[in-house]
Amino acid sequence: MNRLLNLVLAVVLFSLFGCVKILNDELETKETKLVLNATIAPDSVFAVNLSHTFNIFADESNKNLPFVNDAKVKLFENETYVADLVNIGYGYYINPDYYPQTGKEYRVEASYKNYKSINSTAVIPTPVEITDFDTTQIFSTDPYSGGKNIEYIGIIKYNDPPNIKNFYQLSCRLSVTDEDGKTYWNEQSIWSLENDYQFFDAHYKGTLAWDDKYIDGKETTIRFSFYSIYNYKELRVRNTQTIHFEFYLKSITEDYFTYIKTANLFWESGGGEDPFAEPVVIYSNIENGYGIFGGYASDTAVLNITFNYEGGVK
Amino acid sequence: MRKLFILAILFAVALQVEAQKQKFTITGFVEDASSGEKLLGANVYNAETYKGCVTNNYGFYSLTQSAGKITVKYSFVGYQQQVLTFELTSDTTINIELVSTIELEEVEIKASSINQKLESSQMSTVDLPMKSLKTLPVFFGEVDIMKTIQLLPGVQSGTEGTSGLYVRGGGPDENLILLDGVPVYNANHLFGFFSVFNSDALNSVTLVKGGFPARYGGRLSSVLDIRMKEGNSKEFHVQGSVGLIAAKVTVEGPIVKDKSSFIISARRTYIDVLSYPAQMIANAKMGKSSHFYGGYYFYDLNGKINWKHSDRSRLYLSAYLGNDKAYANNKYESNDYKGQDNFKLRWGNITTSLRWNYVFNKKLFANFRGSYSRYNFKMGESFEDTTPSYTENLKFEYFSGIDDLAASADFDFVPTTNQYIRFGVSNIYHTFNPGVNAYKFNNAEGSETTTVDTTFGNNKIYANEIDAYVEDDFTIGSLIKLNLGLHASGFYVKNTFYKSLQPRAALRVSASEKLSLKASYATMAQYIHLLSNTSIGLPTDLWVPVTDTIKPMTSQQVALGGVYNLNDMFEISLEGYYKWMDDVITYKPGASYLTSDNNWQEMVTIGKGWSYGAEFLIRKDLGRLTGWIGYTLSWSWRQFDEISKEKYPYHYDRRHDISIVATYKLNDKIDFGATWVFGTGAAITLPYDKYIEMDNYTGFLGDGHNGTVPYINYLSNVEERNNYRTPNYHRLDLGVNFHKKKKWGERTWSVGIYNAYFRQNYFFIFIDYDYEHYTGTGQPEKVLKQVSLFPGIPYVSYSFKF
Repeated sequence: MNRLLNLVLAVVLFSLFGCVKILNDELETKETKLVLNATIAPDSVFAVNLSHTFNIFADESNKNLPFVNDAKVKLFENETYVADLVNIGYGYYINPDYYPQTGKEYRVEASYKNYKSINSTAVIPTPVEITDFDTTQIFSTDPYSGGKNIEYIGIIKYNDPPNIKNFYQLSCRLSVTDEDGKTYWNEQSIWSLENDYQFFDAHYKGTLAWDDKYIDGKETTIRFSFYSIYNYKELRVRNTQTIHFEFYLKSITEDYFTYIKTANLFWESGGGEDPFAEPVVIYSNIENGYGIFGGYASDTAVLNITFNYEGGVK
Repeated sequence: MRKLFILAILFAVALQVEAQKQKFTITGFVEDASSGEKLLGANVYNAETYKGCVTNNYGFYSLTQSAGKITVKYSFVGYQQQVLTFELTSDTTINIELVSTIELEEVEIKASSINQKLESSQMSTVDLPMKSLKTLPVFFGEVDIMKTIQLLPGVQSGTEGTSGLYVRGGGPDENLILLDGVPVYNANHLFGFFSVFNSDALNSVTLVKGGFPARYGGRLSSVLDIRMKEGNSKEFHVQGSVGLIAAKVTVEGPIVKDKSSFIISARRTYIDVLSYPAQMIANAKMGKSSHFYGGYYFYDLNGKINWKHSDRSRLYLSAYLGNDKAYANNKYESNDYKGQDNFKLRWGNITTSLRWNYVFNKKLFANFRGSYSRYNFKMGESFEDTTPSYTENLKFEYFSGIDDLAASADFDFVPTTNQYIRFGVSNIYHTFNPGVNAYKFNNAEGSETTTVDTTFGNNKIYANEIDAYVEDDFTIGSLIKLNLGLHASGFYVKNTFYKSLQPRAALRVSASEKLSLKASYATMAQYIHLLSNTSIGLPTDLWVPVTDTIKPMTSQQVALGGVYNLNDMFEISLEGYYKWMDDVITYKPGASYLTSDNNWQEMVTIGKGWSYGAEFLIRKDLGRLTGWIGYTLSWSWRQFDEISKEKYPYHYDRRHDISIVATYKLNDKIDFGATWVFGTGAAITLPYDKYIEMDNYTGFLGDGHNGTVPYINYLSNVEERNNYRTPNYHRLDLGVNFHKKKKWGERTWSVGIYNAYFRQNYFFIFIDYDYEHYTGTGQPEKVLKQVSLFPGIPYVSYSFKF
C-alpha cells in the first residue's frame, strides 16, 4: 500500500512540475533600426537624440548604451535645408543657435553607416493661454507611513480653440535655491483627481495628457493635485525656504500625444513584463525607424511657496 | 433573400402534400435492445427504394410510404440491422430494438453511417464514436470527450492539456455546448485540463462546425450537442472506474420496467485526499507554530429520470451539478500571537431540464422543455490576527456568474418521406453577474474599533433572448436534397433590443451512389461574450452580454465539400470553408487580467475576423481497426482598429493540423489505442528588440546632454500583433485495455502514456532572466523561456461494470 501511495504521489508530483526550456535560438534576429527622440519647442534649442534598437536580450548596463554619435543629422525648415546638427555625446545632436518657431514645419533626416536612413516631420502647435490659475492647500495622510503630507489642488483654466484638434500635456517643475544661491530644478509629479480620472487619456510619468474630444471650443478647467515636500514631519528639520513651482500647459502635436498614450499604456500594463497584459505597440512617427519627433508650445503658471521651520507655510 | 426562402419552403410543402395520396405512415422509436436506450440518428428506410429517414434526437422516426407490401430496414452503426417485411394498409407504430454487435459473434455490418452521411444534406458535422471513446489513450486515465473532439479536423485545442475548443478560427466562447439541450457555460474542470462531461453518462455527442441547421443559434462557430443516457429500462447496471486522480460510478436501471428508468453518475477527484498524509507529516514537523492545509478537488453528478406515459408521451428530468474547489488554510501561533489566513476558489455549473416529448400524430412530434442553468464563480480570502492588545479581521470575496431560465418548444413535422420540417421557439432569461466584490474589515485596538463592511463592483445585468426557427429538409428528384431554414433571434438588454434574421441553406447533390457533393451557407449571431485574456480556461473568465456600445457578434460561413464511401468501410470527406466574423471583441492594448476590476466595456475593442481553410477526413468505424486521419489547412485573421489597421494572425491561427487516431481490437480481451497529433505553433506577441524611451519632461534624456550618463528607460518593441510562432506542437499517446469477464460482470485495466515520446510542447512563453548565466557586465542574461507541461504522463485505471 505504501509503495502504491508513493507511486501515486510521485506521478502526481511529476506531472505538476513542468519543464522550462530556453528558446533563444528560435527568436530570429531583426534588422537593427535607428531611433530618434525629440520634442522641439520655441523656448529650447533644436535638439534630437539618436540611438539604435538592440536585441531584446541584450545587456542594458551603461557599458552598452545604444547611442549613435557619428551620424549625419540634417535639419530642414519648411523643406529648406537649415544645418547639420552637431553631436555633443550620448547621442545628442543640437543646433545651439537655432530655436524652432510655432507654425513652421521641421524635418530631420538622419543617416548612419548601413542603417536605413530615417526622417520625420513636426509642426509646433500654437500655444494656448492659461486664463486662470489657483491652488488650494490640503493635508492628507499617507496610507502607508501615516505621515501628514501637504497636498495641493491646482486649477488651470484655458479656452480650447474651436474646430481644430488640440492635444495637451500638463507638467510641473520645481526649483529650490540653497543658502549659497545655487538653484536645483526637479520634475514634480501631478495627478488627476479621482473624479476626473477618465477625462485624461494618459497619466504619464507624473504628467497628464488629454485631447479636446469632450471640450472642443469650450472654456476648460483642469483640476489636479501635487505635493510640495513629501512628508510634513520632515519640515521640522529644514530651514525656512521657498519652493518655486512652474506648471506648463503644453499644446502638443498629435504624434507626440499618441506616443504618450501608447507609452503610458505600456508602463501601466507592466512595462512588457506582465504576462497577463495585452501587448502594446508603441506609436512612432519615424519613417524607417522608431521613436518620436514631437513638438509643443506652452504657457506657464508660477507658484511660490515658502515654508518655515515650524512646519507651517507662509 | 428572405422571401426566396419562404417561397421555396411553401412550394416544397405544396408539392409534398399533393404527393402523399394513398400513403401511410410508420412511426416509432428505435432503441438499444439491452438497455432500452434511444438510438439517435438510426437509419430507417425502404429496402427497395432506399428512401427513408433517420431518428431524431429522441430516437423517434416517421416514415411515410405507399400502401402495399413493404420491406423496412432499421440500422445503426455498431448494431445488427433489423429487416421487417409487412403489408402496409394503415398508419402503423413500430418500436424497434436493435442488438449491439459487441454482443454478437458473427455479424454482417453494413456501412449505414457512411450512407447516412451521403444521404444527408447536413455537412461539417461529426458524430463522436462513443463506443470507441474508451479505447483511446486518455489524459490521467480520464476519458474526456472534449479532448477527443480536439482530434477532429477543423477543431483546435488551446494550450497543452486544456479542453478548450477553437473551431474554424473561432474563439472558445463561440461554441454552443448543449447538455440535453441546455447551454453549459463553463465546460472546464481543473483550469481546463478536464471537461465537465462524464463519458459514462453520455449517449451521443455531435459537433456541428458549419452549415448550421436553423434549429441552432446563439453562437458563431460550432454547436456541440451532447445527449445524456436515459438509463437502462430493462435491468440494473453499475459501472465505474478508479484512476490516478479520480474515481467515478454510474448506476442505471428501471424504476418500472420498460416504462420508467433512471441513471445517476458521480465523479470526484482525490488529489486533496492523497496529499493529506504529506501535509500532516509536514505540519507535525512544524510543531504548533504553523499549520498548513490546502487542496483541490472537483466533482460532478449527472442524473436523469424518464417516464414513458404512453407510446405518444414521455417525460424526462435531467440534471447536472459540478463544482471545483481549491482551498488553502494557514494557521500560525506564537506565545502571544495567533493568526490564520484562508483562501478558497470555487466554481461550478448546475443545469436542470424538464422535457416532455409528445407525438401529436403520425407526422408531428413535439418536445417541450423548461430548463435552468447556472454558472457561479466565487473567490474568497480572509485573515485574522490576534494579540493581547489588538484583533484584526479581513475578509474579501468576489462573485461572478450567469443564470439562465429558459423555455422552448420544438416540433418535427414529417409530411412525407421526402420532407422533414422542424420549427420551434425558445426564450432565455439571462441574469449576468459580471463581478461583485465584498470587503469586510474589523480592527479592535484598545477602545478604538475600526469597521468596514462594503460591497462594490458591477451591477447585475438582466437580459432576455428569444429565438424562433423553421427549417425544411426536402429532396428534389433522386439526386438533390435541400435544407432551407431561417433562424430569427432577438436580445433585449438595458433598454436596447438587438434582432437578427439568419438564413441557412444546405445542399446535397448525389454524384453517384458513393459520392455526394455538398454546399452550405449560414449566418449566425451571438449576444454574449466571454471576457478572457488568457489561453487557459480560467474560472474567472467572465460571461457578459452585448450592451448599447458592444454590439452582437455575427458571422457568415460558406462551405463546399464532398463525402465518398470507399468500399463501405471508409468515409472520406473533404471540405473547404470561408467564414467572416463581425463585431468580435478582444482586450484593448495594455488591458490586463490583473486590472480587470475596471469597467469591462472600457477594456475591450471591437473588430473583424476571417478564417478559411480545407479539412480532410478519412474515417473507419467498423472492423478490428477503427479510427480516423484528419488534416486541416487553415488561416485565421483578426483586425481591430485600436490594435492595428492591418489584419494579423489570430492566436489560434494554425496552418497545419494533423490527427491520427487508431484503435485496434486484438481479441475480446485486449485492445489498443493510439493518437498522434501535430499542429503549427500558436501565434503570440513577443518583442524582438528594444529601444530608448523619450523623456517626457524636457525633450532630452535625463542629464545626458550635460555630459553625465543619462538615466534611461527602454521600451520593448512590438512591431505587430502575434508576430512570433511558438514551436510546432506534436504528441503521441498510447494505451492498452485488458478486459476480463468475471462472475460478477466485466473488469478492464487500462494503462497507457500521454505524450509518449516526452515532447516538450509550448504551454507558456515569456522573457525572463537566466540567473545561471551572466553577461560581461555582471548582469544576468535575458532569455526566452518556454514552460512545458506533462512531459510523458503514464496512467493506469481500473474500470468495472455489472
